[in-house]
Amino acid sequence: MKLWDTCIRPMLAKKAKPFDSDAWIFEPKWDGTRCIAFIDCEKKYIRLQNRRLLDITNRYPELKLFEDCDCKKAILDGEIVVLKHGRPDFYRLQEREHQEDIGRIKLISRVMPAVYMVFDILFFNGKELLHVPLIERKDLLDRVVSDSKRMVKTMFIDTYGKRFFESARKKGLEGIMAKYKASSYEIGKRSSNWLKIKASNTMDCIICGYTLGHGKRSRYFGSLVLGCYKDGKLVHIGDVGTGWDEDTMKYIHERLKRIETKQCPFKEFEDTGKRICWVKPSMVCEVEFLELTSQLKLRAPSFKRLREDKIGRECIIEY
Amino acid sequence: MSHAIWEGYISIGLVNIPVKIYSAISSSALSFRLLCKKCHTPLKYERYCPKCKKHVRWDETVKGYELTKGEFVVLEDKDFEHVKLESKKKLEIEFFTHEYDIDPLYMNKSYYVLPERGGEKAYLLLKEILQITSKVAVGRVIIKNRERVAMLRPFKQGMLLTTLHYIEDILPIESFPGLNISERVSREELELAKELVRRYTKPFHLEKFRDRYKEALMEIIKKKARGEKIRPVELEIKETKDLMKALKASIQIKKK
Repeated sequence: MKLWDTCIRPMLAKKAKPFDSDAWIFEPKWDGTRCIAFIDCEKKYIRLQNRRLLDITNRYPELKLFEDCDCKKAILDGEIVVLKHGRPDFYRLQEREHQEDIGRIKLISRVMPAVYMVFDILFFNGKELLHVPLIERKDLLDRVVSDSKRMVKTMFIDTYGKRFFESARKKGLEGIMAKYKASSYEIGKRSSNWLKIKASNTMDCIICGYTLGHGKRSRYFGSLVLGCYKDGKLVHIGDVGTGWDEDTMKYIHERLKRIETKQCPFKEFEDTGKRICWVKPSMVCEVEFLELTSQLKLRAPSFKRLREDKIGRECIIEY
Repeated sequence: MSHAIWEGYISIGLVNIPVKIYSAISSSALSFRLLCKKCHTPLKYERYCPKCKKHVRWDETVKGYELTKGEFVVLEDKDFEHVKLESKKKLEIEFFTHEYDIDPLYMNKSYYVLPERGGEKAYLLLKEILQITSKVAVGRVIIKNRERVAMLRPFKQGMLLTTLHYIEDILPIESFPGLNISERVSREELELAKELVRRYTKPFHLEKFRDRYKEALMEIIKKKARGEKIRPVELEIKETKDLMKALKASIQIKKK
C-alpha cells in the first residue's frame, strides 16, 4: 500500500539521559500533539492525523500547510503546539483539543491559533523517504518547507547534547530529543534511534477512579486514582490530588461522570477506606512526580494535563 | 421565575377562570452595549431634529405615518386612545379545533397560563377536557395593546397560550421564485430517498442542540475578562525562533 493513502503510526522515542555524540543531532522537545501531515500543494489539500491515527484536520482549520511547502505532495511529521510567550502552552492546546463543534473551533482558532513545529519529512513528490538517513531528510525538509505563521521548522544542533539539554532546561523547555543521524524512519516503533531526554519525571497514567472532594472541591473530586500497565496488567500506581485549576477539574469531572462504573478496574487493590467512584479506564493524563517508590507508586505526583492523543494501552510503567 | 405579563380571565360560556400568564421563553442571546471606541464609555442616544438644529425631548415628539415619501399623517396620543380596545383583561374562547389545523408557521409567542385563587378547579376541567378531546381552544386576547388571535392547549400539568400571526403578516410562498420545477422524480428515486429517511429517523431532543455561536463568543468574553491578551501568532512565532536562535548560540559560545 502506498504511504500516501495510509495512516502512519509515528516513530516514538525511548527515555535517556543527556549525552554527547557526533553521530547524533539534538532538537527541542515540544509539548504538544504529535501530528502527521499529508499535504497536497496542487489540490491545496491537507490531512492531519494524530498518534492514535484519528483524523484531526477539522480541529485545526488554520493549519493550511500547503501554503508553505514547495512540492507537489509531502508527508511531514511534527508537533502541533499553541504558543504562549514563544513556548508551547499545553493549557491552551487542551482548549483546542476539547473543541468539538465547527463554529466554536473557527472562533477559537483565531484566538489561540495552533502552530505546526515540523521536524521530519517522510514522503516527497511520490517518493517514500523512510529509508533515507535522517540527516538527509532534515536537509530536504529545510528546502521544501518555509517558515510561516502556521509552520516552523524545528532547529537542531550537532554533537553537544549535554550543553543543549542544559540550555533548553534553563529556557523552560520540557526537554530535548536526540536522534541518530543515520537512522531511518521506523513507523510505529519505539526506537532507540530516537531518545527523549526530559527535565522532569513525567508519566502518562490512566484515570481509573476518583475520590469525593471536600469544601471547595465537593462539587467535583478530591483526587484521581491512577493506573498503569505492567506486564499486561493494570496496576494502581497512586493518586494525584493537585495540579489543576477549577475549570480543568470541572471539565474532567464531567467527562468522568459519563464513564462511571461499579467495577474496580484493578485486579488487586489495597482498600484504604476512602470512597472511590470507579470509571472505565479510558482517559489518560500526564503527571509529574519526584520518583517511583520501590512498590511502584508515584511519589509527590502533580497533574500536568490530559492526553487526548493517547490510549490507555500506551500507559506502561517505563522505569 | 419572571413576572406575570398579564392578569385576567379565561372566559368560556358563562364561566370565568381567573389566570395569570407568563412568558414561556426567555431569550438567552448575548447583548452588547455600544461604547465609545476611545474611552469605552456607553454611548448616550439623543433625538436630534436636523431642521430645528436641536435635541428633542420625548414630550416634544409625535408619531407620523408616512403616506408618501416625506409626507406624514400626524397622530397624537389621543388618536391612539380612540382605537383602544376594551382593555378588560379577558381571553374569550370562541371555539375549539384540532391543533393540526393550525400550522406552526402561524405561531408567534408562547405563554404559560396558570390559575389564580378560586379558578383552580375550572382551570383543571378545561385542561383535562382539551386533553381528552384532543382539541385546542381558540380565542382573542389583548396583549401589550394589540389584539391577538391565540390558541390555548394543555401542556404538561398546565396550559400554554400561543398567539398567532394575522394572515396579512404571512408572506405566501408563491410570491417567491423557484418553484416552477419541470422535472419529475422517479419511483426509484423516491424509494431510495425513502430508505434514506427511514435510516436517519430518530426521536427529536431539543436539548441536544446548542447555540454554538453564543458559546464560542462567550468563551472569548471569558478569556478577555480574565485579562488574557490575545497576541498575534506572528509575535509568538518570532519569540519561538528567538528561543531557538538562543539555544543554538549557547552551544557555539561554549564550543570555543
